Amino acid sequence: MSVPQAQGFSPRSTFKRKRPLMIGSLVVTAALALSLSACSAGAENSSDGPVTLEFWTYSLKGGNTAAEDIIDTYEAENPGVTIKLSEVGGTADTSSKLLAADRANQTPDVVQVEYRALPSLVVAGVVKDITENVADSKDAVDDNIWELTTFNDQVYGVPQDIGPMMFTYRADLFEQYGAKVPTTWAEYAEAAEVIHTADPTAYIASFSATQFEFFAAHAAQAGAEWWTNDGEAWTVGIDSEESLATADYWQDLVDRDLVTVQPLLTPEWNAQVNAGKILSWAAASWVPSVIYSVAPDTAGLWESAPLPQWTPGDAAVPFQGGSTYLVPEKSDNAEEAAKFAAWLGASDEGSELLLNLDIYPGGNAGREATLSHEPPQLMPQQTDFYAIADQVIADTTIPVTWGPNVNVAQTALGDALNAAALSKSSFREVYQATQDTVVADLEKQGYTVSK
Amino acid sequence: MSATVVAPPSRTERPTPPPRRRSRRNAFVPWMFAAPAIVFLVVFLIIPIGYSIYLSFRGFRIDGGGAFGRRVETWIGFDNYVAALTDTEFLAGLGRVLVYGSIAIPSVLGLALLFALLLDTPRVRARGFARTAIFIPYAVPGVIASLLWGFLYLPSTSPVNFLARQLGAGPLDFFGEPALYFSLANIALWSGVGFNMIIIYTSLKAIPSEIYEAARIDGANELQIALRIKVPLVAPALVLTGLFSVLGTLQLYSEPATLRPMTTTISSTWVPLMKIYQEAFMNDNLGGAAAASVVLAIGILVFSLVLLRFFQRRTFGDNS
Amino acid sequence: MSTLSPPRAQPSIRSRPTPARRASASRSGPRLASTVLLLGALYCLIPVAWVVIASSKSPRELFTTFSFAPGSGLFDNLAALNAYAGGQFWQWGLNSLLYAGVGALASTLVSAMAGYALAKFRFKGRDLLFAVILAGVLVPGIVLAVPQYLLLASVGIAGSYWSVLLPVIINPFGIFLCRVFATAAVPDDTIEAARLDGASEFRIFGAIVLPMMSQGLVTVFLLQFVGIWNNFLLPFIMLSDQDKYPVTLGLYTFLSKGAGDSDLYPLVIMGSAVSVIPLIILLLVLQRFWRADLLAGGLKG
Repeated sequence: MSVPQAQGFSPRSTFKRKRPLMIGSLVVTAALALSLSACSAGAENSSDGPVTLEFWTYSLKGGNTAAEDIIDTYEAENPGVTIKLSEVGGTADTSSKLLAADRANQTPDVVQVEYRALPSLVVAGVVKDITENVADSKDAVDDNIWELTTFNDQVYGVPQDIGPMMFTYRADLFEQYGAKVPTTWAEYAEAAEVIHTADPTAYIASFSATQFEFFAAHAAQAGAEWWTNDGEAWTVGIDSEESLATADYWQDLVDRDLVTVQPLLTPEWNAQVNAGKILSWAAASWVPSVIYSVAPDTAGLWESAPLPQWTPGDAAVPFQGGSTYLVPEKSDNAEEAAKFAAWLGASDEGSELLLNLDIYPGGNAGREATLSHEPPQLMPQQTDFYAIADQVIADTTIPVTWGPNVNVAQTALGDALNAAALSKSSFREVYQATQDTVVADLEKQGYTVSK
Repeated sequence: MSATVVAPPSRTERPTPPPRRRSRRNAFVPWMFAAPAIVFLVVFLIIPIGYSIYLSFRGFRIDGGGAFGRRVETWIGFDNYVAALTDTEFLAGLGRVLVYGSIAIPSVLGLALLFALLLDTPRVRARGFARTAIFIPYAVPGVIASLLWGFLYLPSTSPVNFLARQLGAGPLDFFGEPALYFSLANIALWSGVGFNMIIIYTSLKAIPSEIYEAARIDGANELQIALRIKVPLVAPALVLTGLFSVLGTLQLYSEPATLRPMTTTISSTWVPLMKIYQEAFMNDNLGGAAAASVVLAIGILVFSLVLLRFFQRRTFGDNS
Repeated sequence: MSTLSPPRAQPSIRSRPTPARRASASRSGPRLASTVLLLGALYCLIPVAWVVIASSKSPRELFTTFSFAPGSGLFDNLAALNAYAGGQFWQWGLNSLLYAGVGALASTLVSAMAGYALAKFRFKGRDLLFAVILAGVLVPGIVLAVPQYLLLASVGIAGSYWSVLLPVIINPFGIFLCRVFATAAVPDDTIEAARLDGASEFRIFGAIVLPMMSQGLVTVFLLQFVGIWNNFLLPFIMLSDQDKYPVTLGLYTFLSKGAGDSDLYPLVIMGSAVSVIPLIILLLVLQRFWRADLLAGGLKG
């Protein structure tokens, strides 16, 4: 709004005459701007014309040559389709933004989330059932991986990457301290003791109460199932004996000060890893690239092995982590979106290209390709890394089912475990309390929970 | 358009009552000026608040059977309010915020007052530099400030701990209770003292120097002048700063939320606003978050009114 | 910006400013005062220095070297920041400038108009309006974020630049401040004289009131600029197009990734160092306008 400078207070002020004009032009400008913005917001939609797919992902970063390769390849093979990348944060942020976008009827077309977030998004009604669209891709992905996105025989996502569980450790320091590389959890505890006795400032690993997926997987490996459903009702098994046994296990290690209680990947954690005070991380095959990014100087000193077992001689493990592509229910370009997701996650070409992003592809072709791939930068000397990982996948026969209220469980367990670790109180009770919280939440929402 | 009926305006401070011809126009004029603000107020504050209140009576329930029945938004009455008021964590969060406030607010205001008084001391050196330097943290966003203090607190990356180790002392735990409250308050202190200092300082500059002259003639030294004259005269500014600090404290969020991933001692619902955020964004429970916000807002309102009443009686000035 | 200093300034008591005259005082007083002030300045500057030094560290140095030892990775970090997503960091900087600059400008204008109305006119409902405006301060941003998003989405502008510009225009504290400035800086006589001369109300506002309030307006602008620049929650909920992110949101996205992506600490720190610099410059520049005498306004409501 421009105000004419005062020259004098002439009674015949031109301002009065200008006022309606000004207001009118303001209104017109506003309307114009609003309509222009409305055009620019959201994806264009025309099923026959050019299509822009809005793709929320944190694995493909703009500017990263491998990611751009992927986009270029697909766009070249599918003229008329443009892919627009957007990083909206990790799984938690992505989920909440997707829910908000759905309520605003303005969703993207392909969204990457970790497997554990999928059920809660499905029951929120924001995920499209793409069983038909991706039926052809089923054979390109192993059953135990395809299951991760299938609920009640309906497919809600295409797996992008998986997390075969492995134990990554500082081989040099294990040798230095005389600790045996554990093949069972009992041996793990022994190694923890050896290490900590040899160097009271060193620990076999950190204990992070917020790595919920690990605890779920650990319990699953012991035979517990935290969530199961028979199609009608949910059963929650966080307080099953097998699960409580894992709680006791960690309680023992924490009480004896054999693991250091702190969150992962903080500046503190990173510094300790660099200094060789945290000697291992039991999780999945994505661990090496993460450690490399915070402690590149330790490259060459690490090795990976299959996860320790509860029973000697066993080999079965679940997956930990990994993510999937889903197509939002309200996407305007669902067919094209599903096609792209299927291409990237399952097709030979796509899943091989995924390997360049330093993730472990879920598609069969990608997995094949890993076998001839160089080992991770953290362990250039371990040439059989991917062979081991491949064997682990073959042994991944333990399913982990996620319930519709994973978030509630995660925060409840995380907060309570932290508090218990600090006050040295019972982990068992934490698990039982979490069980109660999860069941109560499910019932409050209206689910049937069988006892 | 010249006025003929009105008395000359220069005689009194207040505008003389306008002639009736003008009163109708005058009635619209203030509303015209206030109109843009009112429009934005209604659209971006009133309506969202109203919608939040509406949402607070709704929640998601399962419609359709089976394990993957869909969640549907529906009316649930006061369930959300009951949940918020009986949530021990929510109430505990309120308690923590009060403890935090009792440390942080006096520190910030006290230090701001001290610095302002020092800046106002005659013949003090480096006034400009100090004033600017102390004000600079205001430019750092809360999230970044928390992140960098996180680095400064964590044992392995902290220079303080480095010094402590050199001197033979053990690592200081900035995150254990009760140190945690002080660590958090420190971040607020660092960020906020410059701003509040400037406010109080400008208040000080407005005091006519004749008052000081008289006191000095009477033999008062600088310290006495500061305590007996300056402080009481800036009391209104202190009160208002304090009030807004209280508001800010009750809405504490970004410091604990940013530091939480770095330590095990901050839960996901450590302060009420974290609980609200969690309900809204993590648990997809907008209704629950809305109800908790209403409860919190009412609590803040009541608390502020009580404080205002209390101070209004003690200092003059009709703060509205 | 912490919770203890939301962008709110307090008006001082009403008094005419006069330069403080020096009186003879003991020697030790000023020296002690200077020392304490310098200590305070040090306390405030050290973390900022840390950020600058840390931004010169490469990933390997960040977690291994002493806090204040400069690293070798300054240019690498800058290059990485520059290269991220094809120079998107600078786009974010421009976005922040847009949101903060235009938003603060518009907000200042709206606040000035409302403050003027509240200060210089007596009308029915004035006190109620003021109370409602102030009550807006009580509502935390988190509560408003999602409803605002849904509202703007229903009009179709969620996710656009407008969705971040429009909600910040209403600034209750700015209105409060403008009311104080209008009361203090604009004498009623001048306005009456102008009215008698036949000037229209808008002309009075534009030609007389605004210039008289100008230094106070600079204050309001500065506060709102910093507030918007540092605001993160509103853009977070409104925007999903990375090209439209402001710097704070972009840096936050660096920090909060999926299960295993933490090589971005150096980027975050570098980005923080770079993004704090414009704000500091703005503060230093505007400090010249922001002198002691101009905040001397009445506390009268």
